[in-house]
Amino acid sequence: MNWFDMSSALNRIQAFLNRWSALISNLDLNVKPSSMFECYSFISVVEAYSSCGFNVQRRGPSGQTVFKRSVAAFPHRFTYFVVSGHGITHEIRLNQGYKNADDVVFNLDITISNGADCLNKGKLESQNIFTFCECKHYRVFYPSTCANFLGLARIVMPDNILWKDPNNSSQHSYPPPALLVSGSASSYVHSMVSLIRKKRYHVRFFDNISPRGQTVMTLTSWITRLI
Amino acid sequence: MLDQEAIFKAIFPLPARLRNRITLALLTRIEEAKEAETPQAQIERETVELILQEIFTSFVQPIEMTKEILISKALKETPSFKVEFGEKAFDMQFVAENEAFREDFLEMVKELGFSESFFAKEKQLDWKRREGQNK
Repeated sequence: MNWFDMSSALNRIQAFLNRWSALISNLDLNVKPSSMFECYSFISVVEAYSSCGFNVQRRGPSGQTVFKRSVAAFPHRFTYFVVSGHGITHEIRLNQGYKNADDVVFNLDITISNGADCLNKGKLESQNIFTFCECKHYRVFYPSTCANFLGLARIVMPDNILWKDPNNSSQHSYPPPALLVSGSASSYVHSMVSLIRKKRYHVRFFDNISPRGQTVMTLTSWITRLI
Repeated sequence: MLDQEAIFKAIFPLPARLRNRITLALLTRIEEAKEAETPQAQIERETVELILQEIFTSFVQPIEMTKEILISKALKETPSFKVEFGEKAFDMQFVAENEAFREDFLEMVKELGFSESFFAKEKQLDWKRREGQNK
């Protein structure tokens, strides 16, 4: 007999899925996992600011929280946060349109901007961006995801993110643009991290961003670079 | 060889989109395993793990994330939230309604012999340690 009985495991899974099929259909209809992950990451960034001693203010529609799922909507109709403390104020928004110095518009998952109320015609502009995060709800992720993010960070951030000295804080007065992934890094990603470190790219990849991981603690250590 | 018919039968109650994703991932893995001459028992275990992880990622994890969002201090003034206007509102009742499903799933994972590492397969990327090493 095998040390793992696949046939009985498949039977168990099938019985489970049959038992919960109605609920699964309902979840499939109403819950978009990638959107939920973006909302979770967004709130976790705000929580991390809070745990660093920042005062957090919820802004947007009064009496309700509505997260922004796409770039195509007026940002002030949706919930966003203003955090202030340690002599600085930042605005944190979800799915925010951003126009870089060359007038190219991007949709960024989570933006952190310098100061409050700094959008121009609903877009964040390059002089106001502080840093940003991209969120990927993947079971496993590979170096190509990291490489895509690196390219995005290079073109989005107003200053050069390459060849930064990690020990010289005057070269990077903002937390590195971060890729937040819900799943685990494939073994190749660890080599990618070594490459990023070697080449001193000012970006970060965070895996296992989930309620079962140490999300807020991870993001707090990311934010504390600015205090 | 894996009994692909048994696998497709087991995952049939899942939405078609997810079934397709699992099938594609499995076929890729089977090809990799053939090349690497991976033992049959290991592929079988990996197959079941992959199916469970897809169910976890698509249905269980979003419920856990919803709960975390609702109990966060940032949302203390509102008991529910929406992801876009006009969409379903998520509140603690939604979490409660799905709790039995979540618990049943976790029980099944345990029964099938997968440990806590199932939820965080590999060590977290550890920048601090790496930074320390580089100093």
